[in-house]
Amino acid sequence: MIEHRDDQIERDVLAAMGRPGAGWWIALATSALFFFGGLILWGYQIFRGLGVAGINNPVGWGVYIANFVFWVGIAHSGTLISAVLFLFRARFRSSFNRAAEAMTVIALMTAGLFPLIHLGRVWVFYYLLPYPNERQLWVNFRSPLIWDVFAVTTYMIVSAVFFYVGMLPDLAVARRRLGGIRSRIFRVLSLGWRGTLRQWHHYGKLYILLAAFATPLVASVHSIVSWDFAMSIVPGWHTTIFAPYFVAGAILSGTAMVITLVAPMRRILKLEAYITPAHFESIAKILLLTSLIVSYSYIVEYALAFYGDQPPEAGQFSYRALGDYRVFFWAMILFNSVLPLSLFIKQLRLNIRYLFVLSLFVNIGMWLERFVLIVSALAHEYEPYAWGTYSPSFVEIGITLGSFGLFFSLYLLFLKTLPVLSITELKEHQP
Amino acid sequence: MKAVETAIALLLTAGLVLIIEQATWSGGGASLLCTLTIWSSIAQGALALVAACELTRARWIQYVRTDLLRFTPMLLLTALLFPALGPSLSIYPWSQAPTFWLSPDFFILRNCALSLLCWLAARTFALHSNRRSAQTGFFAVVYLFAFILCQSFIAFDWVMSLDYPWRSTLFGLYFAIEALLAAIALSALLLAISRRSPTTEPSTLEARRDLATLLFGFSILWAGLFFSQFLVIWYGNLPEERGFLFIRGWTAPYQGWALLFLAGIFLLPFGVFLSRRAKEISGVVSAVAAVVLGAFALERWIFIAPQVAVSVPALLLESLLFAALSLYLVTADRAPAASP
Repeated sequence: MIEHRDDQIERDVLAAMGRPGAGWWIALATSALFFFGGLILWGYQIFRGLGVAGINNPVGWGVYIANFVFWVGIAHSGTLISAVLFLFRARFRSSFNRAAEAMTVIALMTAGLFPLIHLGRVWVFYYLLPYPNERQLWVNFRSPLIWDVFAVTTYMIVSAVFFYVGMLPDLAVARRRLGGIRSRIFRVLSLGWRGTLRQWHHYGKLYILLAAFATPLVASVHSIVSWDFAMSIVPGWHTTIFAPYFVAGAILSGTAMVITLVAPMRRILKLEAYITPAHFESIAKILLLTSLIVSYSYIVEYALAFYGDQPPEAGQFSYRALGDYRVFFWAMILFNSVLPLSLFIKQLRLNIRYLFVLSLFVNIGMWLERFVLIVSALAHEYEPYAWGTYSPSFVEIGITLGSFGLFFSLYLLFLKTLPVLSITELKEHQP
Repeated sequence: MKAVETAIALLLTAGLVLIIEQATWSGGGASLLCTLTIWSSIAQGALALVAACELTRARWIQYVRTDLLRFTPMLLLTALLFPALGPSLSIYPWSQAPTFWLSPDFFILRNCALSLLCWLAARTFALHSNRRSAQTGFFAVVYLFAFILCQSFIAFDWVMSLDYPWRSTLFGLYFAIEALLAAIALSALLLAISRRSPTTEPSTLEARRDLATLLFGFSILWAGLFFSQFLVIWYGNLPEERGFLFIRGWTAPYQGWALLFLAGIFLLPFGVFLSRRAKEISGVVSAVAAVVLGAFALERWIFIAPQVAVSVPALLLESLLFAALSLYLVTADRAPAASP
């Protein structure tokens, strides 16, 4: 009976890796089109110079930095769902962890492009790296931007290792079940996994070690991203709550993106038996909790901006709500704080279609949050003579769409090349 | 627990605290503020921990749930004692030039109202939790909202405004997480003094390990928040911000105490609970929990003492009274131990 059930799980999960349908090809072609469009525009920017972007003085950071923060945020939920929920022994993670881990790696690859794009002269990117040189020129280790290089790189390496190690037993299953060239590829990738007691023992130890290591890493990476802003003395940026606020925001956006990706995946790949509404309800609770933390941060930031005698701070927060970017600001409040409150209703938490639509709004809201935070602070600093506005150029918009194209292209490729659910854990958790 | 006996215990504690506050050596309200800041956080944190565990269905809580819920009346005591700070509000720098938000009457009114609201939410939640009613989850959420609100006001109103116009947006969240950390430490102590029999010992061991792991995790979380606040202020190096850190971290006598509470809340639990074996030894877990609670109280004193003269004898006496009340609340209606 158990063997039959295990066999069914293996067949169902690996069936998702079967010959792709027309829908998959259309989706991939569309995503790739956006990606190549973005790539061409980046080439145009390199050829013409950074002047083709809308960034200016005083708004020197625009959508490129907003995109970087957004994609790093998206990358957070993978490790949260996988590592943190593993440590807390939450079983529902098995329905989402593989997709979330893949999303993490892909989102980090996407995020990593934006500092390079923002550099303008991308060919001198190695100035960011501390390499030995005869002139003894070193990077500024006191700059949070350099902390970013180390933090994001470490996170990328640990996430990729965590993703790969967690997949080893499933790669061995794929090696056994799939034929042709794929069997040979999985033979190499599964590193000689035989499923012996000794191998499982080592695997268990390594996996929990990686989970324990990755958990504080999740918090530290986005804290460091937040310090890109908080270390400055720009009104609206220099605030102590930024680290936990950014971490909560990252988990909120990442969880929303997991729902955006998994809800259609479940239906298209016929995985309804393994990803149930109850699993979605659990992840919706995380979405609700992080939305509440983010909303709390909004309230505290606003309240304390008007506490004491801080005209620049108060001016900045008035500008956000009433100034040039007020539409984006109120949309952000609606999408990140108001709409998720509907998740207090159990029926809505169990409604996958509703969750899918809500997750799209939260994704938009979180992108807008980064945009409002970055642009409005620079546009309205201390001195009125230095105030200005910013609107992204077609190059910036095109590259932003291109990043979404890259993300979805890679995710679609993942769906057809690797097991999308953890076969091992599904077998463990079956009643 | 009989309601009348509890009411007498509360009134007795309140009366003794007020008598101490009338003494000339008591420091004019500063020690009461410090006592209330410490004990309201412990009591609110205890209830919040149960509420969070109800929502996440944590199994270890069953060993200390009833004991933690017994802290509910202490919330009422802190709410009733808060107006006693009224005549001492001159300890706040804003009292010299009140604003709409920071005015003595409104300050007392809103904080009393919030404390009472928190007690009501806690009481309703405790009643439903004790009955194991189907609405426990709902009231747990309501209480957690009240908890976050009250902790934020304790942080921003009671403590931060002592350094007015200094401000830190992280303070509220920091206090809330610290209250939960204190409650976890309290749970470890309660687990150690709880009745055990040979049949329940293996599961108690598992609960102790879980509690030690939580203490370990929360000490890291606390350190993360502490560092986040410290780094932004230190790096910004703005005159109006750095004074808060400078007085507490770089000047005597607070510098030594500051290092001590850092070691007590973070370094000790982190270092000790890296060992899996240490998490299983009752004495070790209890000792670390006691140090964490002590360091937590010390930190609250360091927040307050540089701005106003806190009478340490008065603070210790009041804290002893609150500790005695806690012991009474936890042990008063415990059934006699069943023979093994």
